[in-house]
Amino acid sequence: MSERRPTVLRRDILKIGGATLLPLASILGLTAPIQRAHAGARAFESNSFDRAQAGLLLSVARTLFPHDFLPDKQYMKIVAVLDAKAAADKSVAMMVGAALGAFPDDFATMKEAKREDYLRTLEGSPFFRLVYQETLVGLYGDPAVSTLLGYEGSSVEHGGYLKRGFDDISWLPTNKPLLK
Amino acid sequence: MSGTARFDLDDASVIVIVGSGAGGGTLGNELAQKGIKVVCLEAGPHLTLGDIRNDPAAMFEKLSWLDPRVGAGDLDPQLPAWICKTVGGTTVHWAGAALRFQPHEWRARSTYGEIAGASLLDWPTTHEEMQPWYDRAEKKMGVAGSSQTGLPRLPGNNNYKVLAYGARKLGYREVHTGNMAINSQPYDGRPGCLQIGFCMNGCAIGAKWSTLYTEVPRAEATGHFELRPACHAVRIEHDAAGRANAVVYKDANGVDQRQRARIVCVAGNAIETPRLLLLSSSGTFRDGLANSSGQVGRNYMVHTTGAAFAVMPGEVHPDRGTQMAGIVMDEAPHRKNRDFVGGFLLQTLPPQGPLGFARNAKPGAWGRLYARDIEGYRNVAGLWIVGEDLPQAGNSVTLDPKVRDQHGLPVAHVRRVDHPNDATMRKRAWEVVRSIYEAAGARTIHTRGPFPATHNMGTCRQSTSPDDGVCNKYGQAHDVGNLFIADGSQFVSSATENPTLTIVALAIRQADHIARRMVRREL
Repeated sequence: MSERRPTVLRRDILKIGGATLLPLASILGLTAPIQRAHAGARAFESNSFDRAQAGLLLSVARTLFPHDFLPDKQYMKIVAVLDAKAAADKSVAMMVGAALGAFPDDFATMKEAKREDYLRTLEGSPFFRLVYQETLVGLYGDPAVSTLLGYEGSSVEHGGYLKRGFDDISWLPTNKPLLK
Repeated sequence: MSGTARFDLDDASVIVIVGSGAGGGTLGNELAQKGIKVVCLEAGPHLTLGDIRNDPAAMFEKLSWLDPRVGAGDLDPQLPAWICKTVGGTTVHWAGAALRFQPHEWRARSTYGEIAGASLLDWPTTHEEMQPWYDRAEKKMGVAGSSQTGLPRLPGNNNYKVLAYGARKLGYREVHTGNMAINSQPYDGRPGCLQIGFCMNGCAIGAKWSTLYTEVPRAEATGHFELRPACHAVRIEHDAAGRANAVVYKDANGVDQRQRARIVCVAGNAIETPRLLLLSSSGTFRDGLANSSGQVGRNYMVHTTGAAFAVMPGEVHPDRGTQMAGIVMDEAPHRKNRDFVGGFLLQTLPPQGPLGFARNAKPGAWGRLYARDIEGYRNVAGLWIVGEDLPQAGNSVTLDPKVRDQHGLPVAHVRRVDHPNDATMRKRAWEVVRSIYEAAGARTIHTRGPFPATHNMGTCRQSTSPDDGVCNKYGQAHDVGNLFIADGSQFVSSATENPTLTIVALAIRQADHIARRMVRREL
């Protein structure tokens, strides 16, 4: 086993390197992969990961971008996307499986700071890059989340913001000479 | 109104313009208004206002030049620049800042002196001779804040007010909502700005100037101008005397067509323009057309940029209203007592959604603290830095030796690295930005490096001597008398200011020059 793992990982890195080339728009942070739109629509049924692996991935996603007001099911959408990717590509399943296999047994119940410490050691690995990328776009590319965060979206159909608060800032010190 | 013209492929009396953006669209309309016949080849599709959506991701896909390119040096390897492939070119996407160069920026070499590693040159064009052309450009574009239009400056949004408050508290004085080619009131048949936001996805009501709905339709209405969208120029041909006489292009079906021409003007932006000249090498011009100087593709400049996003103590709603809503100009002049030459501007820029903020404020960041910043999205203020970028001979556009596009042609290999002056300026600009947002009460401030460049310049520069550059002060190629460079490629210095107004002013002047020379039978 210890003989084989490096071999498997090296091959996976090559494959993942190709598979995770970002869509161009994502370089600008503008868009998320298309599959996210549907992935979370149904209850999560694991195709590739077992219950423990899915639980670990949920914990990783929450540790990366923890928002206490979001329920677990929001993060499970990301796990579902990862599961679908693993089901579609065996090398992804093996790479993720190998990475999760090396996690501390009590990762999910560790304090958040400890979980962060562990994930920092994985930064730059194919596993981390994949889960980071899917969590980032899975969360903030989801209109349900971006709306909760205060993003107001398209405005042209509402006549823009000319009469809807484009200059309604109220908290700046009202120093008239400064703000004239 | 004569309606749209249709010219025969064998009509050798037309001027062929490659590109329909700030340079090509303006030049085409100016020539057509003078009764000169123009065929305008545009690689991208012809969208209308009805195609514009307040959706950054969807519009990025619709507007951007996404044919493969190779980035090297400090550039993103996949997307070295963010420019457009659509009728109207990058004027569909631009944010509207319309600023004149400062006098010294036309004389960069004389002002800054010899700087190691920089290929500085003075423009053959002077500040004084450009002022009337700037006047005409501002009038044409409806620039708010210009005496040429009488249009007042736009009102400032929340993002602007944060910047203005912090900057004024630090003692900055030239802080305002900028000279913008966005109608602050109805002007020239286009409506006033409704503060919709999403300017860089295209203005859905046409309040922002773009050749898509100004120059192009007006040129068509003369009956002297034919737009051919989805027609991608691949080679400029010449006769035995070395004069350009035709442009070969791929039509919408990918079929080769050959349009004969009296004059050829290239305005494909500073990456595709040199690429087309390099692709047009021949037995006579072995290193590419108009390249006896070896300067085609060199001196690629993008502006020294960076960005900052600050989480403020109260709501800002940064996506509301014009994206480039305000400017700080106090650092724009060249000062002898600084450790860099040239200057920089600060211009507001919204994060464009939580995904844009999460990915861009601090690339690669994660964890509890960063998630807290993202939860403060409503409170985010943002800006970008636009500073002078020094020309360097090694920053360049060349033909990539390996990668080919959908037509089987070598793609542009775009390389850029910072000059030490750029790095020093950016560091200073970040310090200024931090001070401004701290003065306004910021809780967290993230500064970051450049995005893929939207300002691309210098790759076919003007020069007095044919040894130093590609074209003369009118954009006319030194080597090929009836070939013109009509876009930002002809810039000699990047200056501090956003380039579009200067591209438009140069295009108006170039049209005047071409028409005069044609009357005198010199072209």
